[in-house]
Amino acid sequence: MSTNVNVFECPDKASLVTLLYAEGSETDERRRLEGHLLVCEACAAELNGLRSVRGALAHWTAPNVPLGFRVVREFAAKPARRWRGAAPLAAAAVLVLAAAAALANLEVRVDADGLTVKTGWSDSREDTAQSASARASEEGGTAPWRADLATFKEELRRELAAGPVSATSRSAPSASARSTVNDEQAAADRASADLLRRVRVLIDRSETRQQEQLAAQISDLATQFQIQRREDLVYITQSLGRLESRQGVDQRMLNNFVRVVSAHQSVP
Amino acid sequence: MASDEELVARSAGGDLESFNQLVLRWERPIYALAYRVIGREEDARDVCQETFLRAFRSLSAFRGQAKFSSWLYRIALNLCRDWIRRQKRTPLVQAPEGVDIVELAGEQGPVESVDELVARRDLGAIVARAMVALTDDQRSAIVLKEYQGLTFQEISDLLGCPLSTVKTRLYQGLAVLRRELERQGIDAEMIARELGRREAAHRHMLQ
Repeated sequence: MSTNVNVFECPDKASLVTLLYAEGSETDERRRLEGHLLVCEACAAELNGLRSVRGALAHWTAPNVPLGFRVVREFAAKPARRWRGAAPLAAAAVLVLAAAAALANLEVRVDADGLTVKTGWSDSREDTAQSASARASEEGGTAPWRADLATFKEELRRELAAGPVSATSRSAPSASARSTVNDEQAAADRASADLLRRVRVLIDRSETRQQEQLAAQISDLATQFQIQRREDLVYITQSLGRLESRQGVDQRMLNNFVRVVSAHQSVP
Repeated sequence: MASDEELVARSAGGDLESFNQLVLRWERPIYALAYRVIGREEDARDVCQETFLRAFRSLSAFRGQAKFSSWLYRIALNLCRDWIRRQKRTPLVQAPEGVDIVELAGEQGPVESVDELVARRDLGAIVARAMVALTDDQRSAIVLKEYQGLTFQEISDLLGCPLSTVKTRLYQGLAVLRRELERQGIDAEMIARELGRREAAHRHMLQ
């Protein structure tokens, strides 16, 4: 706004709010307005009218309702998110259970097809265990047992390759030197027993590792459930508190209604 | 006491307790804003709660370009606008299904005539009635200036309109209120008298 304005000329009424709220105390606009009010009764009266409205506005207070909001955690997106983090854990749990079941009746076989680990249960059970592992691989999970199994397979292969016993040496004993054959047979048996022992040690180690992993996974899962449970409890408590306060409001409303109805009825 | 900005920084780092301190600090002003803009206690509560939830969810988007309180006010005002829009879309003549008529009557409260309010000198309730006559823009401007104590510039930033528009909305809103109050026989003398009584009662309470 220009400062070269005639002091007798009424300004835009909206500019009176600058004086009303005393903002911009030293501005040209304010000085000019103050000068104008000294000579214009209408504008001065307008400003007084606005002041009186402000006085009335001061009487309108917001109700003192209980608030006490607290952000505990995001609940809105919960159903979608809740299990997203737990899905790999759940898959791991399925896996761990399958592995534990397999340990109950373990059978390791090495043949032309390579290494086969069987549970000794029915084929359908085996399928379940296999489908569980298939699911895990589909989820892109790099389950720790996979690496273990690969290592175990590799070690077993090394053991077998290093072993002095072969099926052909046992099935074709030399007829000329029976005692030598007997010695060889004994040596082969010893080697075989030794191999068996080492395989057992490997299996034992693998079992221990799997058990440790199982324990760790179960403990993780339990912790997750505990956290979830605590959050749910807080959420339930808050919801109950809100319900109670709403119930109180409803009760007051009903009382008001009854009061109004009875007041109307008492009038003859 | 930690500043809003410090608490915001800590909250953004995952400290829920810091965010809850901000909630504690700002829930009353935000509730008061929502209540005065939409005029209903329970809905204002919902708007207030939603404001903090939204703020919490988008803390990472708050880069400190404005005061935290201005940011909260903006979220709350947007939610109020959504609420008002929804109310306008709802046909007033049809009661929604499943609404208990007793509850509905209770929610409106015992209906007092303006005469009764005037007789009781309940200026607050009379003002609340008069505010209904304002447009949404005038109402927002008056609430932000009169009750939240924002500067013209802050209101201009918040509502996204020029300073001159803020002043015009304020002036026009106050002029409408003045007319409404005068129609109810509330004149400057009565207001001055009531203000005097209020101040005396306040002084008495302090003693």
